Amino acid sequence: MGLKLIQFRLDSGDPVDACVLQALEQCHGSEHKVAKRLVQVYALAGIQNPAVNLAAAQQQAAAEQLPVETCFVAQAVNQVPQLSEDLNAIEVNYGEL
Amino acid sequence: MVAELQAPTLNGLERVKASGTVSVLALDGGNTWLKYSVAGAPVQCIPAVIKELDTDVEEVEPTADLDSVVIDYEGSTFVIGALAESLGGVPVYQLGKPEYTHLLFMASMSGVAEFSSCPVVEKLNILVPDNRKRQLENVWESVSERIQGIKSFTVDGQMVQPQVRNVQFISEGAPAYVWAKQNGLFSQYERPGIKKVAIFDVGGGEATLQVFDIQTGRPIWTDNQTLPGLKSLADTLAGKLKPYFRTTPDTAMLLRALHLEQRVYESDGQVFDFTEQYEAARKAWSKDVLQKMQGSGLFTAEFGGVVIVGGGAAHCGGIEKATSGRFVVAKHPEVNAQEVNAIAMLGM
Repeated sequence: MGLKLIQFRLDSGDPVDACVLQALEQCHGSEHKVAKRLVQVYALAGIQNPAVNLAAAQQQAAAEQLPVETCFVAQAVNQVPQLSEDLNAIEVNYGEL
Repeated sequence: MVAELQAPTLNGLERVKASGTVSVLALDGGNTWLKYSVAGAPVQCIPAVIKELDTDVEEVEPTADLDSVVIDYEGSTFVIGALAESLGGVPVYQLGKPEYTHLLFMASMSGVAEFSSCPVVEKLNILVPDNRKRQLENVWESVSERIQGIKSFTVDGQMVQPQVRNVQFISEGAPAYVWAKQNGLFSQYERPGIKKVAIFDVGGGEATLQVFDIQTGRPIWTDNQTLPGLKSLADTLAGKLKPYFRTTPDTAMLLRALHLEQRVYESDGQVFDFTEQYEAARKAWSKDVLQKMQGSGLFTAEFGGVVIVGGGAAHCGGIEKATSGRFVVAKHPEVNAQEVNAIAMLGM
Protein backbone atom coordinates (compact mmCIF):
# COMPACT_ATOMS: atom_id res chain seq x y z
CA MET A 1 0.00 0.00 0.00
CA GLY A 2 3.02 2.27 -0.35
CA LEU A 3 3.71 2.23 3.37
CA LYS A 4 7.04 1.22 4.80
CA LEU A 5 6.83 0.15 8.40
CA ILE A 6 9.54 0.61 10.95
CA GLN A 7 8.51 -0.88 14.23
CA PHE A 8 10.01 -0.51 17.65
CA ARG A 9 8.65 -2.22 20.71
CA LEU A 10 9.06 -0.38 23.98
CA ASP A 11 8.02 -1.79 27.29
CA SER A 12 6.65 0.63 29.81
CA GLY A 13 9.39 1.74 32.18
CA ASP A 14 12.22 0.59 29.94
CA PRO A 15 14.95 3.08 29.23
CA VAL A 16 14.10 4.44 25.84
CA ASP A 17 16.63 3.34 23.34
CA ALA A 18 18.55 6.26 21.95
CA CYS A 19 18.16 4.83 18.52
CA VAL A 20 14.41 5.01 18.76
CA LEU A 21 14.67 8.57 19.94
CA GLN A 22 16.88 9.40 17.00
CA ALA A 23 14.45 7.77 14.60
CA LEU A 24 11.51 9.57 16.10
CA GLU A 25 13.32 12.88 16.00
CA GLN A 26 14.03 12.35 12.34
CA CYS A 27 10.48 11.34 11.74
CA HIS A 28 8.62 13.79 13.85
CA GLY A 29 10.85 16.53 15.13
CA SER A 30 10.60 17.04 18.85
CA GLU A 31 6.99 15.93 19.09
CA HIS A 32 7.69 12.28 19.77
CA LYS A 33 5.74 10.57 22.49
CA VAL A 34 7.99 7.78 23.56
CA ALA A 35 6.12 6.94 26.72
CA LYS A 36 3.74 4.80 24.72
CA ARG A 37 4.20 1.11 25.27
CA LEU A 38 4.17 0.40 21.55
CA VAL A 39 5.40 2.90 19.03
CA GLN A 40 5.09 2.39 15.33
CA VAL A 41 6.73 4.71 12.92
CA TYR A 42 5.55 4.92 9.40
CA ALA A 43 7.57 6.28 6.58
CA LEU A 44 5.57 6.90 3.46
CA ALA A 45 7.77 5.51 0.77
CA GLY A 46 7.38 7.20 -2.57
CA ILE A 47 5.25 10.05 -1.30
CA GLN A 48 6.94 13.34 -1.92
CA ASN A 49 5.05 15.32 0.64
CA PRO A 50 4.36 13.02 3.55
CA ALA A 51 3.64 15.66 6.12
CA VAL A 52 -0.04 15.60 5.28
CA ASN A 53 -0.43 11.85 5.45
CA LEU A 54 -0.85 11.19 9.13
CA ALA A 55 -4.48 10.38 8.54
CA ALA A 56 -3.56 8.04 5.68
CA ALA A 57 -1.08 6.24 7.88
CA GLN A 58 -3.63 5.83 10.62
CA GLN A 59 -6.15 4.51 8.11
CA GLN A 60 -3.63 2.03 6.81
CA ALA A 61 -2.75 0.90 10.33
CA ALA A 62 -6.44 0.38 11.05
CA ALA A 63 -6.89 -1.56 7.79
CA GLU A 64 -4.03 -3.86 8.77
CA GLN A 65 -5.44 -4.17 12.28
CA LEU A 66 -2.11 -3.19 13.77
CA PRO A 67 -2.08 -2.53 17.53
CA VAL A 68 -1.24 1.11 17.04
CA GLU A 69 -1.27 3.52 19.90
CA THR A 70 0.65 6.26 18.20
CA CYS A 71 1.44 6.78 14.56
CA PHE A 72 4.15 9.02 13.29
CA VAL A 73 4.46 10.04 9.70
CA ALA A 74 7.97 10.49 8.46
CA GLN A 75 8.91 14.02 7.66
CA ALA A 76 12.20 12.92 6.17
CA VAL A 77 11.22 10.19 3.77
CA ASN A 78 14.69 9.84 2.31
CA GLN A 79 16.35 9.28 5.65
CA VAL A 80 13.98 6.78 7.13
CA PRO A 81 14.40 3.93 4.65
CA GLN A 82 18.18 4.19 5.13
CA LEU A 83 17.75 4.16 8.88
CA SER A 84 15.51 1.16 8.55
CA GLU A 85 18.10 -0.66 6.48
CA ASP A 86 20.86 0.12 8.98
CA LEU A 87 18.81 -1.23 11.79
CA ASN A 88 18.06 -4.49 10.13
CA ALA A 89 19.46 -7.57 11.72
CA ILE A 90 22.20 -9.43 9.86
CA GLU A 91 20.75 -11.10 6.82
CA VAL A 92 22.44 -14.11 5.32
CA ASN A 93 22.40 -14.68 1.59
CA TYR A 94 23.33 -18.33 1.42
CA GLY A 95 23.68 -18.13 -2.34
CA GLU A 96 26.80 -15.99 -1.86
CA LEU A 97 28.65 -18.61 0.18
CA MET B 1 36.12 -4.59 3.86
CA VAL B 2 39.50 -5.86 4.98
CA ALA B 3 40.55 -5.58 8.59
CA GLU B 4 44.29 -4.98 8.73
CA LEU B 5 46.61 -6.23 11.37
CA GLN B 6 49.82 -4.55 12.32
CA ALA B 7 52.80 -6.86 12.41
CA PRO B 8 54.88 -6.79 15.60
CA THR B 9 57.75 -4.38 15.09
CA LEU B 10 59.83 -4.80 18.23
CA ASN B 11 62.06 -7.80 18.51
CA GLY B 12 61.58 -8.73 22.14
CA LEU B 13 64.31 -11.32 21.96
CA GLU B 14 66.82 -8.50 21.57
CA ARG B 15 65.65 -7.14 24.90
CA VAL B 16 65.87 -10.56 26.44
CA LYS B 17 69.39 -10.93 25.11
CA ALA B 18 70.43 -7.67 26.74
CA SER B 19 68.72 -8.03 30.10
CA GLY B 20 67.41 -11.58 30.51
CA THR B 21 64.01 -10.05 31.23
CA VAL B 22 60.86 -10.87 29.30
CA SER B 23 58.46 -7.99 29.83
CA VAL B 24 55.47 -9.97 28.58
CA LEU B 25 54.98 -13.45 27.18
CA ALA B 26 51.71 -14.13 25.36
CA LEU B 27 50.66 -17.78 25.23
CA ASP B 28 47.72 -19.02 23.15
CA GLY B 29 47.45 -22.79 23.38
CA GLY B 30 44.77 -23.54 20.82
CA ASN B 31 43.19 -26.88 20.08
CA THR B 32 45.49 -27.56 17.18
CA TRP B 33 48.22 -24.91 17.33
CA LEU B 34 50.29 -23.33 20.06
CA LYS B 35 50.93 -19.65 19.35
CA TYR B 36 53.19 -17.50 21.45
CA SER B 37 55.09 -14.27 21.31
CA VAL B 38 57.96 -13.23 23.53
CA ALA B 39 57.75 -9.50 24.26
CA GLY B 40 56.71 -8.52 20.75
CA ALA B 41 58.90 -10.94 18.81
CA PRO B 42 57.15 -12.48 15.80
CA VAL B 43 54.49 -14.99 16.81
CA GLN B 44 55.70 -18.59 16.80
CA CYS B 45 53.24 -21.27 15.82
CA ILE B 46 53.74 -25.00 16.35
CA PRO B 47 51.30 -27.93 16.42
CA ALA B 48 49.75 -28.26 19.89
CA VAL B 49 50.61 -31.93 20.19
CA ILE B 50 52.55 -33.56 23.03
CA LYS B 51 54.32 -36.87 23.08
CA GLU B 52 55.75 -38.12 26.36
CA LEU B 53 58.60 -40.44 25.57
CA ASP B 54 59.20 -43.77 27.18
CA THR B 55 62.90 -43.16 27.65
CA ASP B 56 63.62 -46.85 28.12
CA VAL B 57 62.81 -47.46 24.48
CA GLU B 58 62.45 -44.05 22.84
CA GLU B 59 64.99 -41.34 22.36
CA VAL B 60 65.17 -38.10 20.39
CA GLU B 61 67.93 -35.58 20.02
CA PRO B 62 67.39 -31.92 20.88
CA THR B 63 65.88 -30.46 17.77
CA ALA B 64 66.76 -27.41 15.74
CA ASP B 65 63.41 -27.81 14.00
CA LEU B 66 61.43 -24.60 14.58
CA ASP B 67 58.17 -26.57 14.61
CA SER B 68 59.20 -28.80 17.51
CA VAL B 69 60.78 -28.67 20.95
CA VAL B 70 62.09 -31.33 23.30
CA ILE B 71 61.63 -30.76 27.03
CA ASP B 72 63.14 -32.60 29.97
CA TYR B 73 61.30 -31.92 33.19
CA GLU B 74 61.27 -33.78 36.51
CA GLY B 75 62.69 -36.95 34.99
CA SER B 76 60.33 -37.06 32.01
CA THR B 77 60.95 -36.18 28.39
CA PHE B 78 58.30 -34.52 26.28
CA VAL B 79 58.27 -33.70 22.58
CA ILE B 80 55.97 -30.87 21.53
CA GLY B 81 55.07 -29.83 17.99
CA ALA B 82 55.44 -31.37 14.55
CA LEU B 83 57.82 -34.07 15.77
CA ALA B 84 55.34 -35.08 18.46
CA GLU B 85 52.69 -35.32 15.76
CA SER B 86 54.84 -37.68 13.69
CA LEU B 87 55.66 -39.75 16.79
CA GLY B 88 51.98 -40.35 17.48
CA GLY B 89 51.55 -37.70 20.16
CA VAL B 90 48.24 -36.47 21.50
CA PRO B 91 46.67 -33.05 20.90
CA VAL B 92 46.72 -30.86 23.99
CA TYR B 93 42.95 -30.47 24.02
CA GLN B 94 42.60 -34.24 24.37
CA LEU B 95 45.16 -34.33 27.16
CA GLY B 96 43.55 -31.40 28.96
CA LYS B 97 44.83 -27.86 28.67
CA PRO B 98 45.07 -27.14 32.40
CA GLU B 99 47.20 -30.23 33.02
CA TYR B 100 49.67 -29.39 30.26
CA THR B 101 49.79 -25.60 30.07
CA HIS B 102 53.03 -25.57 32.08
CA LEU B 103 54.64 -27.62 29.29
CA LEU B 104 53.39 -25.16 26.68
CA PHE B 105 54.99 -22.40 28.74
CA MET B 106 58.27 -24.31 28.71
CA ALA B 107 58.01 -24.76 24.94
CA SER B 108 57.54 -21.02 24.55
CA MET B 109 60.86 -20.46 26.33
CA SER B 110 62.87 -22.25 23.63
CA GLY B 111 63.90 -19.01 21.96
CA VAL B 112 64.63 -17.31 25.27
CA ALA B 113 66.89 -20.14 26.44
CA GLU B 114 69.41 -19.25 23.75
CA PHE B 115 70.09 -15.96 25.48
CA SER B 116 69.41 -16.47 29.14
CA SER B 117 69.44 -19.52 31.39
CA CYS B 118 67.73 -17.61 34.21
CA PRO B 119 65.13 -15.46 32.48
CA VAL B 120 62.68 -13.32 34.42
CA VAL B 121 59.18 -13.25 32.94
CA GLU B 122 57.50 -10.17 34.31
CA LYS B 123 54.08 -11.03 32.94
CA LEU B 124 52.78 -14.26 31.44
CA ASN B 125 49.45 -13.81 29.66
CA ILE B 126 47.67 -17.08 28.97
CA LEU B 127 44.54 -17.40 26.84
CA VAL B 128 41.88 -19.61 28.44
CA PRO B 129 38.31 -20.50 27.43
CA ASP B 130 36.78 -18.89 30.51
CA ASN B 131 38.39 -16.58 33.05
CA ARG B 132 35.41 -16.03 35.29
CA LYS B 133 36.12 -16.19 39.00
CA ARG B 134 34.86 -19.71 39.53
CA GLN B 135 36.97 -21.05 36.66
CA LEU B 136 40.03 -19.23 37.97
CA GLU B 137 39.58 -20.65 41.43
CA ASN B 138 38.73 -24.18 40.34
CA VAL B 139 41.10 -24.60 37.44
CA TRP B 140 43.58 -21.93 36.57
CA GLU B 141 45.01 -20.75 39.87
CA SER B 142 46.64 -24.15 40.35
CA VAL B 143 48.11 -23.84 36.85
CA SER B 144 49.55 -20.49 37.81
CA GLU B 145 51.07 -21.96 40.97
CA ARG B 146 52.52 -24.83 38.99
CA ILE B 147 54.18 -22.52 36.47
CA GLN B 148 55.54 -20.19 39.11
CA GLY B 149 56.84 -23.21 41.00
CA ILE B 150 59.01 -24.45 38.13
CA LYS B 151 62.60 -24.51 39.35
CA SER B 152 64.33 -25.70 36.22
CA PHE B 153 63.83 -27.64 32.99
CA THR B 154 65.71 -28.32 29.80
CA VAL B 155 64.41 -27.18 26.43
CA ASP B 156 66.22 -28.41 23.31
CA GLY B 157 69.21 -29.28 25.48
CA GLN B 158 69.47 -25.91 27.23
CA MET B 159 68.76 -25.61 30.92
CA VAL B 160 66.35 -22.87 31.97
CA GLN B 161 65.66 -21.67 35.50
CA PRO B 162 62.78 -19.27 35.01
CA GLN B 163 61.23 -16.80 37.37
CA VAL B 164 57.65 -15.92 36.46
CA ARG B 165 56.45 -12.92 38.43
CA ASN B 166 52.84 -12.59 37.29
CA VAL B 167 50.45 -14.90 35.50
CA GLN B 168 47.30 -13.48 33.99
CA PHE B 169 44.53 -15.58 32.47
CA ILE B 170 42.70 -13.86 29.65
CA SER B 171 39.44 -15.09 28.23
CA GLU B 172 39.27 -16.24 24.61
CA GLY B 173 37.99 -13.54 22.33
CA ALA B 174 38.87 -10.70 24.70
CA PRO B 175 42.27 -9.87 23.15
CA ALA B 176 40.83 -9.94 19.64
CA TYR B 177 37.94 -7.77 20.78
CA VAL B 178 40.32 -5.20 22.28
CA TRP B 179 42.42 -5.24 19.14
CA ALA B 180 39.41 -4.89 16.83
CA LYS B 181 38.00 -2.06 18.92
CA GLN B 182 41.34 -0.21 18.99
CA ASN B 183 41.67 -0.56 15.24
CA GLY B 184 38.21 0.79 14.56
CA LEU B 185 36.69 -2.41 13.21
CA PHE B 186 33.61 -1.95 15.34
CA SER B 187 33.40 1.83 14.94
CA GLN B 188 30.51 1.61 12.46
CA TYR B 189 28.50 -0.13 15.17
CA GLU B 190 29.21 2.45 17.86
CA ARG B 191 25.89 4.18 17.52
CA PRO B 192 22.55 4.23 19.20
CA GLY B 193 20.65 1.00 19.03
CA ILE B 194 23.62 -1.34 18.61
CA LYS B 195 24.49 -3.13 21.82
CA LYS B 196 26.46 -6.19 20.83
CA VAL B 197 29.34 -7.20 18.58
CA ALA B 198 31.28 -10.43 18.44
CA ILE B 199 34.55 -12.18 17.72
CA PHE B 200 34.29 -15.38 15.69
CA ASP B 201 37.41 -17.41 16.46
CA VAL B 202 37.69 -20.25 13.98
CA GLY B 203 39.99 -22.91 15.36
CA GLY B 204 40.78 -26.46 14.38
CA GLY B 205 38.48 -28.30 16.76
CA GLU B 206 35.95 -25.61 17.48
CA ALA B 207 34.82 -22.24 16.25
CA THR B 208 33.64 -19.97 19.02
CA LEU B 209 31.46 -16.91 18.79
CA GLN B 210 32.16 -14.58 21.69
CA VAL B 211 29.73 -11.74 22.12
CA PHE B 212 30.64 -8.44 23.76
CA ASP B 213 28.74 -5.42 25.01
CA ILE B 214 30.04 -2.73 22.69
CA GLN B 215 29.63 -0.01 25.30
CA THR B 216 31.40 -1.66 28.21
CA GLY B 217 33.51 -4.30 26.47
CA ARG B 218 32.21 -6.92 28.87
CA PRO B 219 31.68 -10.41 27.49
CA ILE B 220 28.06 -11.53 27.32
CA TRP B 221 28.63 -15.14 28.30
CA THR B 222 25.05 -16.25 27.78
CA ASP B 223 25.22 -15.34 24.08
CA ASN B 224 28.45 -17.21 23.37
CA GLN B 225 28.27 -20.16 21.04
CA THR B 226 30.53 -23.10 20.30
CA LEU B 227 30.31 -24.19 16.68
CA PRO B 228 32.05 -26.73 14.46
CA GLY B 229 35.61 -25.74 13.62
CA LEU B 230 37.86 -26.61 10.71
CA LYS B 231 37.91 -30.28 11.66
CA SER B 232 34.27 -30.46 10.64
CA LEU B 233 35.20 -28.98 7.25
CA ALA B 234 38.06 -31.49 6.96
CA ASP B 235 35.74 -34.40 7.87
CA THR B 236 33.30 -33.37 5.15
CA LEU B 237 36.17 -32.99 2.71
CA ALA B 238 37.50 -36.44 3.62
CA GLY B 239 34.09 -37.91 2.82
CA LYS B 240 34.03 -36.21 -0.56
CA LEU B 241 37.55 -37.44 -1.37
CA LYS B 242 36.95 -41.01 -0.28
CA PRO B 243 35.76 -42.26 -3.70
CA TYR B 244 39.08 -41.19 -5.22
CA PHE B 245 41.34 -43.22 -2.88
CA ARG B 246 41.56 -46.79 -1.65
CA THR B 247 41.49 -45.60 1.98
CA THR B 248 39.63 -42.74 3.62
CA PRO B 249 41.80 -39.62 3.48
CA ASP B 250 43.44 -38.70 6.75
CA THR B 251 41.61 -35.80 8.40
CA ALA B 252 44.75 -34.61 10.20
CA MET B 253 46.61 -34.32 6.90
CA LEU B 254 43.68 -32.49 5.37
CA LEU B 255 43.63 -30.12 8.33
CA ARG B 256 47.32 -29.43 7.79
CA ALA B 257 46.66 -28.77 4.10
CA LEU B 258 43.79 -26.41 4.98
CA HIS B 259 46.01 -24.60 7.46
CA LEU B 260 48.62 -24.10 4.74
CA GLU B 261 45.84 -23.16 2.31
CA GLN B 262 46.89 -25.99 0.02
CA ARG B 263 44.35 -27.75 -2.19
CA VAL B 264 46.34 -30.90 -2.84
CA TYR B 265 46.20 -34.29 -1.11
CA GLU B 266 48.71 -37.04 -1.70
CA SER B 267 48.03 -40.70 -0.97
CA ASP B 268 48.25 -44.13 -2.62
CA GLY B 269 51.02 -42.72 -4.79
CA GLN B 270 48.76 -40.15 -6.40
CA VAL B 271 48.44 -36.41 -6.02
CA PHE B 272 44.90 -35.09 -6.13
CA ASP B 273 43.80 -31.50 -6.56
CA PHE B 274 40.74 -31.18 -4.32
CA THR B 275 39.80 -27.60 -5.13
CA GLU B 276 36.33 -28.58 -6.32
CA GLN B 277 35.60 -30.81 -3.32
CA TYR B 278 37.01 -28.17 -0.97
CA GLU B 279 34.63 -25.53 -2.32
CA ALA B 280 31.66 -27.80 -1.72
CA ALA B 281 32.84 -28.70 1.80
CA ARG B 282 33.61 -25.07 2.64
CA LYS B 283 30.14 -23.95 1.55
CA ALA B 284 28.51 -26.73 3.58
CA TRP B 285 30.50 -25.82 6.69
CA SER B 286 29.85 -22.08 6.24
CA LYS B 287 26.14 -22.71 5.83
CA ASP B 288 26.09 -24.94 8.89
CA VAL B 289 27.73 -22.41 11.23
CA LEU B 290 25.69 -19.47 9.92
CA GLN B 291 22.44 -21.39 10.25
CA LYS B 292 23.33 -22.33 13.83
CA MET B 293 24.09 -18.69 14.66
CA GLN B 294 20.93 -17.50 12.98
CA GLY B 295 18.87 -20.18 14.67
CA SER B 296 20.04 -19.02 18.08
CA GLY B 297 18.25 -15.73 17.56
CA LEU B 298 21.40 -13.67 18.00
CA PHE B 299 21.05 -11.65 14.81
CA THR B 300 18.65 -9.03 16.13
CA ALA B 301 18.67 -5.34 15.29
CA GLU B 302 20.84 -4.65 18.36
CA PHE B 303 23.59 -6.92 17.07
CA GLY B 304 26.26 -5.10 15.04
CA GLY B 305 28.97 -7.11 13.36
CA VAL B 306 31.58 -9.80 13.75
CA VAL B 307 35.36 -9.87 13.30
CA ILE B 308 36.71 -13.27 12.30
CA VAL B 309 40.06 -14.44 13.67
CA GLY B 310 41.82 -17.78 14.13
CA GLY B 311 43.56 -20.28 11.91
CA GLY B 312 40.35 -20.98 10.02
CA ALA B 313 39.64 -17.36 9.14
CA ALA B 314 41.10 -17.88 5.68
CA HIS B 315 38.15 -20.14 4.88
CA CYS B 316 35.54 -17.54 5.80
CA GLY B 317 35.53 -15.43 2.65
CA GLY B 318 32.11 -16.82 1.75
CA ILE B 319 30.74 -15.84 5.15
CA GLU B 320 31.93 -12.28 4.54
CA LYS B 321 30.10 -12.18 1.21
CA ALA B 322 26.94 -13.86 2.43
CA THR B 323 26.57 -11.36 5.25
CA SER B 324 27.42 -8.32 3.10
CA GLY B 325 30.48 -7.57 5.21
CA ARG B 326 28.80 -7.76 8.60
CA PHE B 327 31.29 -10.56 9.22
CA VAL B 328 34.80 -9.42 8.33
CA VAL B 329 38.04 -11.40 8.34
CA ALA B 330 41.04 -9.84 10.06
CA LYS B 331 43.92 -10.27 7.65
CA HIS B 332 47.25 -8.84 6.70
CA PRO B 333 49.92 -9.97 4.22
CA GLU B 334 52.45 -10.57 6.99
CA VAL B 335 50.25 -11.61 9.90
CA ASN B 336 47.89 -14.54 9.97
CA ALA B 337 44.53 -13.94 11.63
CA GLN B 338 45.47 -16.90 13.78
CA GLU B 339 48.00 -14.68 15.54
CA VAL B 340 45.63 -11.91 16.56
CA ASN B 341 45.04 -13.15 20.10
CA ALA B 342 48.76 -13.59 20.80
CA ILE B 343 49.59 -10.16 19.39
CA ALA B 344 46.80 -8.45 21.29
CA MET B 345 47.73 -10.17 24.56
CA LEU B 346 51.15 -8.50 24.43
CA GLY B 347 49.43 -5.25 25.31
CA MET B 348 47.17 -6.57 28.05
